[in-house]
Formats: sequence, C-alpha cells, structure tokens
Amino acid sequence: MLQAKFATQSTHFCAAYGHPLIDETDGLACHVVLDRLPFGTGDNRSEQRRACVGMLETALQCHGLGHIGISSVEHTPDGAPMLTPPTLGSISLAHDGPWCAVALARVGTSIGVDIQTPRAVSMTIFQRLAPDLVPLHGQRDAFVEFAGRWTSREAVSKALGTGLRSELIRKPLPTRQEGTDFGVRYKRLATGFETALSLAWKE
Amino acid sequence: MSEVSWRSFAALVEPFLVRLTSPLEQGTELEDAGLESLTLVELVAESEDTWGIEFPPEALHWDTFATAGSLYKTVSDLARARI
Repeated sequence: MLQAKFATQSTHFCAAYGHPLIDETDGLACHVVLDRLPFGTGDNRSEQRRACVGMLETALQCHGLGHIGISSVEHTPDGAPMLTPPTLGSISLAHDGPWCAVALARVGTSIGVDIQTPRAVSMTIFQRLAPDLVPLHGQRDAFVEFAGRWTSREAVSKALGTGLRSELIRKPLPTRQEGTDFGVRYKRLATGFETALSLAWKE
Repeated sequence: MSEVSWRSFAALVEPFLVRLTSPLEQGTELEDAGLESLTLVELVAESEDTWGIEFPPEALHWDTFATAGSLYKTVSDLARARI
C-alpha cells in the first residue's frame, strides 16, 4: 500500500516552509516535509527528537499511512530511524534548532534528509571541506552556501547508512545543487538564511 | 605534543557547546550540551590540527562523542600513540 501510495502521488507542492514537497526528480517519488517544531518544544535534544517523531506520525496520517504508526519506527545501531518491517518503506528525520524535516520514500529506496541553519564555521573547516570558499570566509553568503553543501553531504551519508565514515568528513563537500556524491544522488531543495535542506536517495 | 591536559581539552571543546551551562566535566553529555553533526566535524578538525592526531575510522562513531570523558580518552589515547 505504501508503495502504491507513493507511486500514484503526483501532486507537486511548492517547497515553501511548512508545506509538503513531493519530489519526483529522476523518477524518485518522495515525500518531504520541512516545518518548525511545535511551539513549546524545549531546547533539549531528546525533546526535539520526540517532536520530530510526532511530525512523522502526522505526515504518515496525512497520507493515509496512519495505520503504520510510530510504533513501527525503530533505530539502527547508528541511531538512524527505520520503519519495521523495512518493507514498509524508508524514512529519514533531521532537526536543527527550531526546524524539523521528515522524508518518506517508497520501498526499495534508501533515503536521507538533512537540514542545517547557516552559521559561522571555522576556517579550518572551510579549508578541509570547502576550499573554494576560503577566500570568502567570514561572509554571510559563504556560510549559507556552506550550510547547503553540508546538508547534501549529510543527506548522502544518511542514505548510505554509513554514519560518520571517515571519507565523508574529510573530502570536500559537493558543490553543485544536485548531482552524485559517493554514488548517491542528492538534491538541495532549499538554501537560505533560515535553513538549508537536502535530500539524497539510493535505489 | 604527546599529552593532552584536561584543561587544554576543555578550552578547545567548550566554545563548540552552545548549550553548555556549567564547566565541562567528564560526564558532560556532549549532545545535550549542543553537539550536532557539524559541530562534531569541527571538533575533529580542531583536535587534529591542535594535537597533531588523526581520528581513525573506528573512532568516528557517536560513542566516541557521547560524553566529554569518552572524547577526552580518545584524544588522549591518539596523542599518546604518536610518541
């Protein structure tokens, strides 16, 4: 049922914050929600995680998948969320500050989503991960661009399921808006001063 | 540099922990104190540059970054191994 739901979902919503996006790029049918965490959510990471799972539950219900329930969400040894049984599909969650992103994909697709609020990062990080941006270090636009690239790499890492694999944090980040990184397709869905959002998938 | 003092370790780590409300202790849970994936990479890079170490792939696991104590042990072990 999940697979049919995603295969037939064709409405293309805008990627504006708070609205669902059905991304069908290159044949991928994936549901992505980016929204603010509910008002009153505390600064504690575990509380934010719970709020994120609540958003996942809402997303499942909105798309007729409420019968799955968040009780079907378990975690891999690396802490990544997964639906059980995995034949229900693939999910990915991300949260940063007041933002939370949820991605759902059909069976057979490994998916990763990431968000990052732009902020200043050290010159050391620029030198390692974004050497072409070094001359621009300190400028707000450079930090915004870096955040976008970072979400692409993180989304790829999640889709790969490799956690903190060494190469992922030592090789320069992908510079393009969409492409392939470590054999995984990625696409930046939003880049801006508030937050950056990327999606990655592997079929 | 073969030894990493707790004082120098704390001085390097504390600025990255935006939710740290008291001085860093061995039992401080880094994620609760503000550690997230980008901060983690910043910490790895700064540690490597400061102490001339390199985190091996097996150390790049969330367990290493669970508490200040677990990260300090890893950094100290890597620094000693350079002798």
